[in-house]
Amino acid sequence: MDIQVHDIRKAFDGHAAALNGLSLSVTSGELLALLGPSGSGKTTLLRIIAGLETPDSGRLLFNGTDAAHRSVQERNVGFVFQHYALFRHMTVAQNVGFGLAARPRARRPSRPEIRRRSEELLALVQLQGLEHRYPTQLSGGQRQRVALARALAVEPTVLLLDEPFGALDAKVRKDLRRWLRDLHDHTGHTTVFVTHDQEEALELSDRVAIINAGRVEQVGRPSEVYLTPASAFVCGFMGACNGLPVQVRDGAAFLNGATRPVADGLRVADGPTVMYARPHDVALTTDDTGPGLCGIAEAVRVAPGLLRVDMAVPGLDTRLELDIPMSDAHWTAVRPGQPIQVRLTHCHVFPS
Amino acid sequence: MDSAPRHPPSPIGEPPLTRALLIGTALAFLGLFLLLPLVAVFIEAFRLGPGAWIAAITEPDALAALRLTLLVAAIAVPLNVVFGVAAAWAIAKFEFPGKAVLITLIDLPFSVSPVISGLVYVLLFGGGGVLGPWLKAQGIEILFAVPGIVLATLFVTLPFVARELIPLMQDQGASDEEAALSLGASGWHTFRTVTLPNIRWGLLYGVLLCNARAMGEFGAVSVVSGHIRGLTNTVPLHVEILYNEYNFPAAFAVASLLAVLALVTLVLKTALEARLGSGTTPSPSVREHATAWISRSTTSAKPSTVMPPP
Repeated sequence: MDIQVHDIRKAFDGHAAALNGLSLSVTSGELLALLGPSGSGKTTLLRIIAGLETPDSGRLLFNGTDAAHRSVQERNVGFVFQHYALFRHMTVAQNVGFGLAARPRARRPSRPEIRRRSEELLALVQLQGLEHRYPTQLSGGQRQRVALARALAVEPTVLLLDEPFGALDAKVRKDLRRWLRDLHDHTGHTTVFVTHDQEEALELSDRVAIINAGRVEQVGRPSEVYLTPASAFVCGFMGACNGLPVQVRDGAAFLNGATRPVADGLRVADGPTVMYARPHDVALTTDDTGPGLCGIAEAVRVAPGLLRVDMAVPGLDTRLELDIPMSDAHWTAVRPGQPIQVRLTHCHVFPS
Repeated sequence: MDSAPRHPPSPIGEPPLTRALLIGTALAFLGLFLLLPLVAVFIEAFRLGPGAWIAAITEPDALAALRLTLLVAAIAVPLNVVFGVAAAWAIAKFEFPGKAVLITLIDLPFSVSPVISGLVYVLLFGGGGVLGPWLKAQGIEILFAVPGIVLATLFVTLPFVARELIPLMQDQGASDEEAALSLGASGWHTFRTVTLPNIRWGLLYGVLLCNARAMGEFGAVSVVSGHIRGLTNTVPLHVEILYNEYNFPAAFAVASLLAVLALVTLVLKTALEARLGSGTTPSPSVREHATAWISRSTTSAKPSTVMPPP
C-alpha cells in the first residue's frame, strides 16, 4: 500500500509545532526510514499515519483514498512500539494471537486457527518453542521479535516501527537489523521505521527521509542522501562534516586572508558562503600549485584502517578534521606538530 | 584462643549494645501500643465465655448493625471502584484542563476531618439545609437514614481506589492500550483484556482498603446517622452505644469483629503488596492513610483499655 502525506501540521499544547507542513510519499513495498534528531517530529508523523494522533491540518491518503478519518482499528496498520508494549499478563502465543482473537465474532478465526497462525508467525521470527513464556522471561531482542510477530498477525497493510532497535545493545541491534531487512524482503510489507541513528537508516532502508523541525529536509536512496545532501543540516546529520567559511570570487573559494584558493571551479555566486567537506574527503597532497590548504597536524590518533588528524589552519577558527586511510602512501609521515598540506576531493556548498 | 575466623566490626554498623537498645525500644513500643490493645480487645470480648460473645453479636440490634454495615460497604465499594477507575483512567491517559484541580479534589476527603464530611451532608440535606426542605417535600429521607450513611461513607472512601490506581496507570503509560487498538481491538475489549489485567492487583488493593474504611468509618457516619437502634446504626456506632451503656462485654464482643476485619485486611494487604512489589508499589499516601485507618477503625470502635471498670 502506498501512503501520501500532504502538508500535515500538528502542534501539542504549549509546545512548538511538532510537524510543520510536512509532505512525504511512501511507495508500496518499500522500506523507508524516517531519520532525524530527537524532537524533529518523526515519531509524531508515524503515530499520525497509525491513527494514534490526529493532525491539526493536512491530508493523509492510503492508496489514494482519504484515511485521516479512519480510526486506528480501521487503518489496519502493524505498529511496533519502542518499548514493545507487550501484554505482560499474556504468554507469547497469546500476545501474537491478540489481534486475531480481538476481531468481532463474524471475522474471528477459530481457536485452533489462531494457535496455528501464532505458531507460524513465531517460526517466521525464529521464536519456536517460546509460545508459553511470558514477556518478562524474554530478552530484549526476543521481545522485539514477539512485538513484530504480533503486529504481523493482523496482516497489516503497512508496518510501522518506532525506534525498533533503540532499547537493544549494539550486537543484538546489528543482528536484528540484518534480520529485519531479510524479513522485509521475504514478506514485502510496506514498512516505515523511525530512527535517530544514521548508520541504521543507511544500512537498512530503501529510502531515507531526513526530518528536521517538523519538515522533510530530503528524501532519497541512502547513497543519494549521503553523497549529495540537499542542505547543510542533512550534510551534518549524515556524518562528521567540516564547515569552512569562505569568500567566493569567480568560482574559487578563499579562506579569510588566504591567497591560495581552497577549491575552484565552483558554480556558486560570488560572496561569503560555507563549504562542507567530510573528513574522508580531505586528502594529503604534495602538489602546492593547485587549490589546497596548508596547516599543522595538531592531534594524530590511530583508528582501525585510518589516521584521525586534527589540523590547525591559518584563518580558520576550528580545527579541520581529516581521516587519512592507511592505504595513503604518506600516512606514516604525518606527525603531531608537523606541517601538512591537503586538498579537498569532494565538497558541498548550499545556497543560503 | 578461638580458632573461628574473627569478623572485624562493620564500618557502618552500630555497636551491639546500641543495636539491642534500638530494637528493644521499637519492640517494646509496638507491643505496648499495638499488640497489647489488640489482645485486650479479644480478652475482654471473651471474658464471659463464648456463649456471651455469641449472644452479644446475635442480638437483634447487633445483627441489624452488621447488616447495615455490610449493605453500606456493598454500595460504597463498587461505586468507588467505578469512580476510581474512571478518574485514574482520565488522569493517567489524557491531558485536559483542570487535571491538577481534579487530583487535588480527590485528595480532599483525606485532608478533611470525617466529622466535617458528615456536617457537610447535614448542611446540604438537613431541615434547614440547601436541599433538605425540597427533598422532604418529595418524601425522600437522606439524613438520619441509610442514604445519608451511604453518602457519608462514599465521601470519606472516595480517594482509596483512585489514589491507588493513578500512579500505577501513569507509570504504565498508554502504549499497551495503543498497541491493542492498533491490533484492531475495540475500546471495551482493550479495557477488559489489557487495562484491567494490568491494574488488577492495584485495584484489589484499593478495594481492600476502601472496604476496611467503609466498614470501620465512625466520624462522618456518626454525624449523619442519628443513632437509631436497629435502623441507622452501623457496627462502629453500635459499639459506641454499648460502651456508653457500660455494657462492656457486648461492646468488646462486637468490637472484636472489627478487629478481625482489620487483621484479615492486614493479611490480605501484605499478600497483595507482595504481588505488587515486583511492579509499582502502592502510593505512600494511600499506605499511610490505610494503616492509620485500619488501626483507627479498631481503636475508634474499641473502648480505651486503660480505663478501669466501674
